[in-house]
Amino acid sequence: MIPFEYSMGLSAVLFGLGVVGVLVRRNVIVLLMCVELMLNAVNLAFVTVADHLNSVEGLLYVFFVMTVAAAEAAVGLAIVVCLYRARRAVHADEISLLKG
Amino acid sequence: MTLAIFFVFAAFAVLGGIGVLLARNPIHSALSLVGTMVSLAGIYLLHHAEFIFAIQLMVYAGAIMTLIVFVIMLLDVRHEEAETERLGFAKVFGMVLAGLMVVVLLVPLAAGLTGKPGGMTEEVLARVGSVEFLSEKLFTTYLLPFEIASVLLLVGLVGAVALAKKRL
Amino acid sequence: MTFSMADMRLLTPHLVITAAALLVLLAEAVSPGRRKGYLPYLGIAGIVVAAFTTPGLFGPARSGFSGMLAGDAFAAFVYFILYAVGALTLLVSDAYLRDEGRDHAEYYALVLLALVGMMLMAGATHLMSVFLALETMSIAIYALAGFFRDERSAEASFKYFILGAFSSGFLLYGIALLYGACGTTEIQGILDAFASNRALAGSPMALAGVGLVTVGFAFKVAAVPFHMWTPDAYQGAPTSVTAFMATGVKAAAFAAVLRVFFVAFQTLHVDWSGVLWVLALLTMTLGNLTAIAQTDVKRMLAYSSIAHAGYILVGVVAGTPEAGAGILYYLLAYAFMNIGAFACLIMVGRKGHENTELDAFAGLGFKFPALGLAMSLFMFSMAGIPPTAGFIGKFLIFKAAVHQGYYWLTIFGVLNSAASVYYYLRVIVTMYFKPEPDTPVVEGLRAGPSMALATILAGLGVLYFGIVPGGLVDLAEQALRYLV
Repeated sequence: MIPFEYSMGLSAVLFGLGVVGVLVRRNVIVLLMCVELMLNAVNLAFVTVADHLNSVEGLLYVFFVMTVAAAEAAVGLAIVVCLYRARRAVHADEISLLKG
Repeated sequence: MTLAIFFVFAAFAVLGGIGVLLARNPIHSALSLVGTMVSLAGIYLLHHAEFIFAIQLMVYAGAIMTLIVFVIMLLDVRHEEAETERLGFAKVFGMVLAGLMVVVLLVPLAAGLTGKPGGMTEEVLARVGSVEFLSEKLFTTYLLPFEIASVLLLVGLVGAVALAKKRL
Repeated sequence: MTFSMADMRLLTPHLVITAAALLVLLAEAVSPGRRKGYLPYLGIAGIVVAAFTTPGLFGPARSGFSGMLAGDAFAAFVYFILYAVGALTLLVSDAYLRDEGRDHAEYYALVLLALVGMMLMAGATHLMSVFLALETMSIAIYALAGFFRDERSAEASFKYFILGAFSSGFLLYGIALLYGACGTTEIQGILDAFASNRALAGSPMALAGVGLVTVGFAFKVAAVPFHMWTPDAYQGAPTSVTAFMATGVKAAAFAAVLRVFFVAFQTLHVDWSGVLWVLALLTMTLGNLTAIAQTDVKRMLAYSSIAHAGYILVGVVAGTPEAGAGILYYLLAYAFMNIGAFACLIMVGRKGHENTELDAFAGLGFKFPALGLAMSLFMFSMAGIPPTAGFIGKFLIFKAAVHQGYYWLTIFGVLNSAASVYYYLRVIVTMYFKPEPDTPVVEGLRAGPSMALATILAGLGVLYFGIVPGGLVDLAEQALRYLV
């Protein structure tokens, strides 16, 4: 059995990479992928805990997170297509109509 | 042996994650992400989650990534991003924040798991099989989330149509 | 372990509204001659039917679907807030969407489905259902925010989407850690785990889980410093959607916060109340200070909604049933005044031009007396001036905070509330005391019977619950009695 700390550590590192990506990258599609990376990290955490606790709940979480990721990807990509059509650009930096 | 395999997969997963971050071309990011997802699928298998292993490959690495790659191709965003020089400050801030995040997530691990064990023990799984066990729970105890997920997929469908269809 | 008809009883309102959403989608497809003016009213009919099936839920707490869904007075109270939000949003949207040429069935269906998600968030008693309901709501709202498909709308939608998905990641990681620490993510189960194992309250894994769940929810309710998405998303989205986001999402998210923090994390109050104390203070202060600097009324209302989230957080910090009842009252009052104010904003716009700059309001008070009166009423209520519902709401929350000894937080809250009077009154002053420019910006109002009805209902709600709050407060207190 893989020690609990190893898998959770890997999960934390992947989550961190996803967070950096969302904060640092600007390409809208890459942002979407970084969010997917975060969700994958979370899934690993759920699987690890489920394995070590012999509990089924974590596996069901993964199942549902994948469902959500699919729906999010569909709507997210639709937004990107919409944005692209409206403005023929996919760089978040160029999107500055609204000021922070 | 298992541990060695784990480390190989873990290394690939992290490399893939770094690839997503650093690649200039979105297609390369997408392929790196596929690499991470496949490695994670392997780790799920090591964690005795056979069903999750299968859907990770089919749904995540397969369907979702295909969708993303398809949109990248559709929009023809292969170019470079002259982007990376986003404000140095924001970048450093992002790194620091994420670093803190990882530390916050790593510290608790020392204490180990404290949760009550559930009923998915080796003996039960040997008797009913892991997929059967999972599906039985899914359609009884966890029926409501399953139903909510059906509404969620409907929302995704209607939302995507409302946003991207040429003429409504 | 299988479900029974008693379980279905708890789910009836959700099923009715889902059915209404499907009916709206089907109705457009089979309507002859593309006539679809009746679609929003079909949705409202669905909400009304659902409302008739809800009162049965008041009374002792029940739970169904193996502890996944509650049928208690708390859920029922929040359902009624959400019905008001949903019906008013549909009323306000009707003429607006037709004018903008975007009156499609998908919009009304998405509003109804988002409403189902919100209701499930309020009723869910398991973090898995809470999460899925939250995503159902959020995904519908991402699509609604981008519904106009122009640059601004798409951009607002994208910002909301990325930060929403980002925050879901935090929420989920928090849930995963709680799962590791407690072995379950059922709300009652978490409470039991913390109550039976004293050491768990000091466990870093449990605390990190609570922290991440807090961050996830803070994003959803737009608490500072997790509010970056709010102004852009609110300003860029169609105004009717902004009203829906500001009121419905807030009501649902705070309902879930109450259930999670007041029940699941009950024994950890000392730990999270300190963090939320700081969040509440920052949220109120920053929301108000930035609202003062705005020259666009729609954006000003976006910042003001951040400030209102701050007031509500004061109630969460207090953590007593009394405070919870105050929060429920406030959420309803906020729904009325905010949707009313946004309805007024829709009315001054015309196709393609929102006219939400403050200067556009100059002289409107005399030009359109009814609009001036309504807008003034909503601004007074948001500023918390009696005899409006906004005043009672703030009063209830601050009273509960004082009873728990949070004097400083209350003082900051009252000071903030006083500061906010400035920018709310500025709208009224502009409407009545600034002469209209020679070339009028607003020539006519985009008002129809439905818009007028929505504004009148919202205004009556603000006044009625401001003058005779008694019954509602009793009901809210009863709702909390069964929660905690």
